[in-house]
Amino acid sequence: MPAATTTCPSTERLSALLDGDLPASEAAVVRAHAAGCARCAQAAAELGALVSAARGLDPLEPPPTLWRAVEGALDARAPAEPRGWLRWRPFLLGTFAGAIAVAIAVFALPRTAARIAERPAAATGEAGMAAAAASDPLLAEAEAEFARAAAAYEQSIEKLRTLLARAEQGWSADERTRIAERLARLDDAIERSRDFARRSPGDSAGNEQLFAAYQQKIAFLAAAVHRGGEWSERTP
Amino acid sequence: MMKTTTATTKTATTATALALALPLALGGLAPRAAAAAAGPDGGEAMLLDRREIVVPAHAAELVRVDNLLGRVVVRGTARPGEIHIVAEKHALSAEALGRLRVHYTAFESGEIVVDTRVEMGGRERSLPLAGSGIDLLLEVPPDLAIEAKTFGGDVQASGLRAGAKLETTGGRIGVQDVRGGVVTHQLRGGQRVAAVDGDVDLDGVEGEMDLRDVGGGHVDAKVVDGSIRAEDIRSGLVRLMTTTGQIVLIGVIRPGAHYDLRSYAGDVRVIPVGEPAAFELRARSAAPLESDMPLRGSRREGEWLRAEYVGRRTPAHTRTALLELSSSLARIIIQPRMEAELR
Repeated sequence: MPAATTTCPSTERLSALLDGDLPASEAAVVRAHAAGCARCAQAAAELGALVSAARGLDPLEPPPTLWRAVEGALDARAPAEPRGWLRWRPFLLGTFAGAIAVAIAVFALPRTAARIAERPAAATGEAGMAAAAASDPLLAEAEAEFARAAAAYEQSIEKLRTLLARAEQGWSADERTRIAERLARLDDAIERSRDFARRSPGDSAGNEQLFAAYQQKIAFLAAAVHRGGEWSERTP
Repeated sequence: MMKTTTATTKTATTATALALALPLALGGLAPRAAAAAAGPDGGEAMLLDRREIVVPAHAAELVRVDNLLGRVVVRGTARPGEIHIVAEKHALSAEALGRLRVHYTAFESGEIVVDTRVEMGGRERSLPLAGSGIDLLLEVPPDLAIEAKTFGGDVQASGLRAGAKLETTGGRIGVQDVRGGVVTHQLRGGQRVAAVDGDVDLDGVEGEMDLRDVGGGHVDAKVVDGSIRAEDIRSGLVRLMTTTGQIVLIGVIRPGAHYDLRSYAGDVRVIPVGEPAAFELRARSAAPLESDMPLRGSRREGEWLRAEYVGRRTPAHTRTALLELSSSLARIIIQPRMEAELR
């Protein structure tokens, strides 16, 4: 990263800028500085990524797919199991009935440990998956299905964008700016998720993360369209 | 502590009673069948393989079904302590058929997971496929909570008594005769929810929503691009929201209930059946309010119109209902109907 200068804003001020917490006059100064400073532009981009992941999206509920995406990422690292069409793994139901701590020790920890231990091998497996993507017709089918879903999300976003363009005609410049900034952050989150999904073909977790990002944007756009001029007061 | 077994192809002996009924439901398929059928266009043959198994579920509380490879149907019709799983896989080649898997896992926490995977690069992955797939039918004891997820396949739940969470990307959602909370998430495909006694939370991006005969504390249905039709809703809080579509609410306006109906671009239509409870109206629309009901005290508060309806036979102590109706670009219509007119 390029060296900071004495005029560079602090990380806290950059963060406040991204959060929309700076007064308009101060925000303009910081924004103008960042436009001409490679270090601050990079820092702002990195902060933006964090903000969109952790703070910028906080007014919305976590997407329903979030936890499943995490689970999917873990599953992708799980060891391959012996072949079998229908595997039946009946637990010793009732043996420790009600003993939650025991259940966690027996079930959750060993599974997690096994998954973590498998990670180095999984990295190699992902490279293999990328190579297989071009030749495996089933993988090509799966990627096509994900692409169709992504296209459907983008189509819905485009419709909402059109409605928003109409709705925001009557809004103040500040409101339009705030919405544009939020949308830029959401677009950034989508782009990063898309890159992640592209890097790991055959991994549903990457696509679930992308779909979760699309859902965030759709929820935000729909809320903005509905709330209209009330947006600035009612959207945190 | 975890016992892993490759299931035999023979249905477990405890399946007898249920296995008798399922072939009827599935068009007379044998308990296990591997067969070739003509493709959808009469061309390439589709290979089919069907298996069924009955698994114990004595301590189970939750069944989670993850099937990105096809449809999921869950029926609360099994005997206590048993889950009957029918899995039918199809593919255009034996090689592809052999790569489709179904897993059943029971955990001490009381959760049972049924999931499908495709073998790929030496690993099994949960992925959607266009030409191959697995359809799952589960018969479960009615008192188990259900979570089911598909990608392009329909997901249906019926006869359940502990609620259901259903999620799909491109399949249709169907819920019938469920007690307990119903939660859905969908990208597109449409949703039909009927005969539910519990809270209902529906979420969709594209597709029609149809709700009928719903009780419970609240109904919350949101869709971006699609209409919502809700009939005979008895919940105390009814929140219906669409961005591009219409909203139609048909039924009795209940004392003390709160109806919050919002469309950005479509009409919002309320069709009270019978004599409605007294209600307070807050309405906001692009066009003038169209009401066939006698409203009193109409006044403007900003962009909202406020008015009251005083029921002709409403006892004085009855709580007033609240109707909040909003259509940014279209109309709000209130058209009372007698029950006989709807038949």
